[in-house]
Amino acid sequence: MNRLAIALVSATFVACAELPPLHVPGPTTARPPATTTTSAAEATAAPLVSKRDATSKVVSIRVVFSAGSSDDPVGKEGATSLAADLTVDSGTKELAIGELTKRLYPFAASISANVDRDTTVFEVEVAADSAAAFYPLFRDVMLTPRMDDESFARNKAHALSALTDDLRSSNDEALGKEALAAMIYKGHPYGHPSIGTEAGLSSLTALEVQTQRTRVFCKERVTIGLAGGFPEGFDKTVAADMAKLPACTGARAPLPVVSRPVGLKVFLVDKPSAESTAISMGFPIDVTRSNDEYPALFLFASYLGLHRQSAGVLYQELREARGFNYGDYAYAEFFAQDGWARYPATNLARREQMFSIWLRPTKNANGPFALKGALYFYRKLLQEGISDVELERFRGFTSRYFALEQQTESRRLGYAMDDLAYGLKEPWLDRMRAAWQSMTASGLKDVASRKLTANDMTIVIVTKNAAALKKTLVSGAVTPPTYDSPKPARVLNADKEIEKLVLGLKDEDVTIVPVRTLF
Amino acid sequence: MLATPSLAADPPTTASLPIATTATLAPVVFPLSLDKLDNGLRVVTVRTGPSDTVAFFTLVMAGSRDEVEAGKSGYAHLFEHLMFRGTKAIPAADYEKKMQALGSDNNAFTTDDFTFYVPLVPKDSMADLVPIEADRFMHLDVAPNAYKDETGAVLGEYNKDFSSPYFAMEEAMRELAFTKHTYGHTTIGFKRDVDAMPQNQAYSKTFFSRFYTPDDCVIFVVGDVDRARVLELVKTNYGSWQGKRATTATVVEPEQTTPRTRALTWNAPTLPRVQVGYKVPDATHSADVAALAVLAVLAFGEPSDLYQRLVVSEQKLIALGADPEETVHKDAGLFTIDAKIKPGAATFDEISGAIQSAIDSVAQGNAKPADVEAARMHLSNATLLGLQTPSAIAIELARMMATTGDVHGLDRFLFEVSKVTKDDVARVAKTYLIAAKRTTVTLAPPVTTPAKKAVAQ
Repeated sequence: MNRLAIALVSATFVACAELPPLHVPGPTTARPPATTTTSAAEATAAPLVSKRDATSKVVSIRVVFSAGSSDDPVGKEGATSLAADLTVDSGTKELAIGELTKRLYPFAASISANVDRDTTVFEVEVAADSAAAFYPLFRDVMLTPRMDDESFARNKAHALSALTDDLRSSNDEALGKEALAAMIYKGHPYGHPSIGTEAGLSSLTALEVQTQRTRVFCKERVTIGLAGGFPEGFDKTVAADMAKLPACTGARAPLPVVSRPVGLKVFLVDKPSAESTAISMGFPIDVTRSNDEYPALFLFASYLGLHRQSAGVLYQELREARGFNYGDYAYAEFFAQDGWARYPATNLARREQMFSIWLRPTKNANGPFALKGALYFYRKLLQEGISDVELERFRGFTSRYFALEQQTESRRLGYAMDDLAYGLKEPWLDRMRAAWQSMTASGLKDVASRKLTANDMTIVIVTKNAAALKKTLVSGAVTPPTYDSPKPARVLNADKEIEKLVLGLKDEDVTIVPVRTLF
Repeated sequence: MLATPSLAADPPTTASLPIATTATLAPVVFPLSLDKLDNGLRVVTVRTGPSDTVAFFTLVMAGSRDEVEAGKSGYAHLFEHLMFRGTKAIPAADYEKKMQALGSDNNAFTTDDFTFYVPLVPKDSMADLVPIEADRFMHLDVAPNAYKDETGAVLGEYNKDFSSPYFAMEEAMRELAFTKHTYGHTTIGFKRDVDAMPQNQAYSKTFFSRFYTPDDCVIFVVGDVDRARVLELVKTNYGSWQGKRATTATVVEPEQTTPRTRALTWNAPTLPRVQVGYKVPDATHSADVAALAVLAVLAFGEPSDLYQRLVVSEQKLIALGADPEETVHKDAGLFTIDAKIKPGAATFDEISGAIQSAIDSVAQGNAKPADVEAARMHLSNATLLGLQTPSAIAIELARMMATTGDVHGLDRFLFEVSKVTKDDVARVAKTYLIAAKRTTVTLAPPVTTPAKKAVAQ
């Protein structure tokens, strides 16, 4: 009988039972393991970020390309995303998709592909003692994907379903965020969802997607990341193999400049089935992680509304004090959640960024007030800044909180690869902590007032009865909230100011967009 | 290490499969310890080795299954919210600031069977976290206005979920499959009950006093922690907590003897969807539950014949899947298979018929041993690869303890999975996954004029 069986048979549910240790991956501390980075110029291998920890029972592999939906040809929106889907879901030159799936399955090592505007990541985690057996399958997926017509038809149908069935119809929160990006970046390569548009996806042929793959998932755009308990030299093997990707055929097109609107521009996404009102607002900023102002803007956005935490001003005022909804957040860069966790997904580096505020759905009746409330508290913070005492308290929190984001090797690898993409020498968290430590309240306020805007922004509201809402917004009417419970004087006094907030919207500033015409 | 049966006796379906099937981590389990205070509070300590973070999570053995009174669904989940609303000693605003000072990632979630409070903190914050956690469990004090505001947040959460057709299908599936048992409502509760919450604070206090008692809670402490130090902190801060869990009568669901179906119409464009659910036994039937979990990936996972035929080759479906986690319930529950149909490519009957045929084939002993082995390996590796953080470890241990009553429930599940044979999957298919225990819900787009959302046809 093996050890586990003995343990199970002998263990009873009694106080102070102690079992012998067995082995699972488990957490590791965020100690700085040996990291090596080579550049393409030094060797024939692809650039490599390597974090080996021989004690780890997991190996994390990331293959990141400086390529994304901004590389989609005009009229072929979705080409990059579909090329990534087909890379991981069409089989290899040697193995049809059914065979490949059967071989991969026992490892439970699912190779995922995520395409954002400027970055694509292929990612997998596998048990360390299986890495050598697993790797040839991964290599062939990356280098010789089959991309056959049958797989193309299937993946295209799935992409169209994700766009029209999931995004447009089933998830008002994601819909609002994508619609905001579409309106801010109208006519810009960031202006369509990374997954594509209905017209773009529909027009794509298998040959066009194959061409897109070799055009953008090419040698000069790739960086390799390895972390965990891989065998010595394994990282170099992967990097050398990925250098066999096709050579890129041209330089990446520069992005056009995107400008902010003058005043507020509101887009009402008219969705008859919406039972509530979801609001997103934002504007482009000229700050990315590469800039010195980034730590300050990041702290400002976190103070205003840290994602899915109750720490932010918006959450405290709109949800806690007023009970409007389920949460209210702000972001200093594009944000996507990592699965079900509250932490940001990594490998989403972008050349241009946006600042945004996201209100989860409110009752329709409170939509106008919630919009004014978000603007009110945002503008107040922008104008008054954060007090010295609050800054001290909050940086203490963030300096510790953000360390929680980097618990797994895979996530630490993702951050390290992002640092490389943004040309940063220091690890993200070290840089942020150092910058926050020396930050003053006046310095923070100065950066926020220089880089953010109180008035010139795009607002997207997903709701039903858009025509009635437009009328309310354009009329400049006072829009008091409705509450289920009495509110303290502090809240009611602020409400009197908020409900009268002048949005200054004219008829032409508010556009109704039927949901079926989006994307 | 758990021995993996050799595949030599069963010719593999592909040349490389034997290599793949050696791909396993050592089977689970950390050196966990279980201690019990005099007041009945249990403490599970798991020392993981080096880790910068500590999960100090509290399991309350009450979920939406414990909402036994008519008109009072959703209260387990409501408390998941109310527990952040402060005490006399630490009002909500102070609580928020104190948790921030610790650098915590503070949250909670509710399921059918349990509620889990999951503050994750840097290692050096644990000692300061314990008294704050103890205070809210022992002395929660929600002001009437705060109570009403939180019920508004819950309604907002309901509205967020409501834009998804999946949610409408889940509501319908539960209501149809369970005529008596509280699995008949979703964790968030019926809309009418959520709407009535603002008027029911008195009832909420009854709910709290029933289940938020030391003998109904288990604290999971996972990270680079010392058991003696943990116990000292817990005894100091929770030692005076008093109370006994009330006995509530969860009604046994009468045996289902005929298939049930319901057709929904969505009021917006959607792909047609079908969900097929079967009644499966409670989690203490560990061998059967493990066999059902293996069957879920064997019959409906990506390599399965059905998936390869309907999704990959014939392309009639956009998606097909069954979640092996859904085989684990405290009471006899539902195991569901979901399919999303390409418009016009297949009828609901054709797809639900194909699902039943795939199960029947397994029941007739047609599963290939190599495929069963691959499914077992997949399930074990997927579970183990998921256990990389203190949070993930605590959540998996708690989920299995809450449903099986056994602190070693996760070990047992993985051990049982490792033993599953083709005869086992045939047995559970024949016993549970039969037409008489089947409930089917379909959802279609509107035909002409939009109908009322998700109404039965």
